[in-house]
Amino acid sequence: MSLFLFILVISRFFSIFFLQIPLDMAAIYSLYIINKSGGLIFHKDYGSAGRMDTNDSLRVASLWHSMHAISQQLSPVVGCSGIELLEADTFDLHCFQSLTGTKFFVVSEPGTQHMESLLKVIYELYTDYVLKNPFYEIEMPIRCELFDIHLTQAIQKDRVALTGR
Amino acid sequence: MIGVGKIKQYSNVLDKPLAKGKQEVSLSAFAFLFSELVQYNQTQVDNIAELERRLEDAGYAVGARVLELLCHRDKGNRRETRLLGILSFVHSTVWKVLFGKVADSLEKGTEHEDEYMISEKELLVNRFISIPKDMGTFNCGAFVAGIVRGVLDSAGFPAVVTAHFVPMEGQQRPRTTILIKFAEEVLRREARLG
Repeated sequence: MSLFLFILVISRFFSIFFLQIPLDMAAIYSLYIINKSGGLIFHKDYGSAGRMDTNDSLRVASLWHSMHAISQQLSPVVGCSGIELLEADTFDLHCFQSLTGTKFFVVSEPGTQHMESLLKVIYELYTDYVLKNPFYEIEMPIRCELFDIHLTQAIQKDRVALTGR
Repeated sequence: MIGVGKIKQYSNVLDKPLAKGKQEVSLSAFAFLFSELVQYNQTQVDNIAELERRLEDAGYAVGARVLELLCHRDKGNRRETRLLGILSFVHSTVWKVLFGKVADSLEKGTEHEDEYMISEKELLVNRFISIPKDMGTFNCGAFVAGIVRGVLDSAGFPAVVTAHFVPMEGQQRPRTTILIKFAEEVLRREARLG
């Protein structure tokens, strides 16, 4: 019972950040990548409304990191790996945690399909264009041109597949 | 048992025949190894020119060995004596063995007699590498330039080889060009041979 209330409170809290009236019906609103200590290493906004400044996005990232960790402890099921999906009135939040603790989460329109596979694709792009780059320091903010280019292509392809345009 | 061959044990590893072996290696494995090579060299140097030189030297060692191996395997121990011969050898055979495909193009330089260019849309070694803005014109393709220099030097065609990014209109990513500038003696010998 209290877990349910907890999740409700959390989604209300997130709504304060993500409440928006979508003007261009973008399926994905934003993408965040968090390193294993909870620091934000990558952030991209795709929706036209509800954009945050850097400080707020840093706060949201560390908030989600703590939430994810707490949910692992709170779970009544043994061996829980943390929150995978958070559904609210105005958005859905899909989260993917790699085996190394790096978390990829995407905030999207309610009811968007195939976000899990998109997160897996983004994880693959991360291992390819970020981890194989000799100029990237592990756990630092991602500043890799190739990663940005391929990420845009992947999101574009996904958007075309989802909305048909 | 039928079909079980006896593997002859060689006491000396130098007596073993040069088997073809597995033709392909995992690209990810190579990418990580190359990334570590670049990172290691970065810790040893103070500036970018030095880093480029170190990568070239690493490639030089590879080039010299590749030439020996390919001469034995693919060319039946025949030696190239003409300029165009060695260039097309590098452009096709060496590239095929190292990167799995022939190079995109081989051109003669228009400004100078001694310059030739091998171009590639994107070098295999650069596939996953994004150069940060503050490193300017540094190109990890210096490793490949070193390989080419190693092959040419060991074949008797001393040259200065460098790798450059050439921006192309309409393309987001620049092409890579390996610029080969042959030494004087090579051109004189070539002129003598007619």
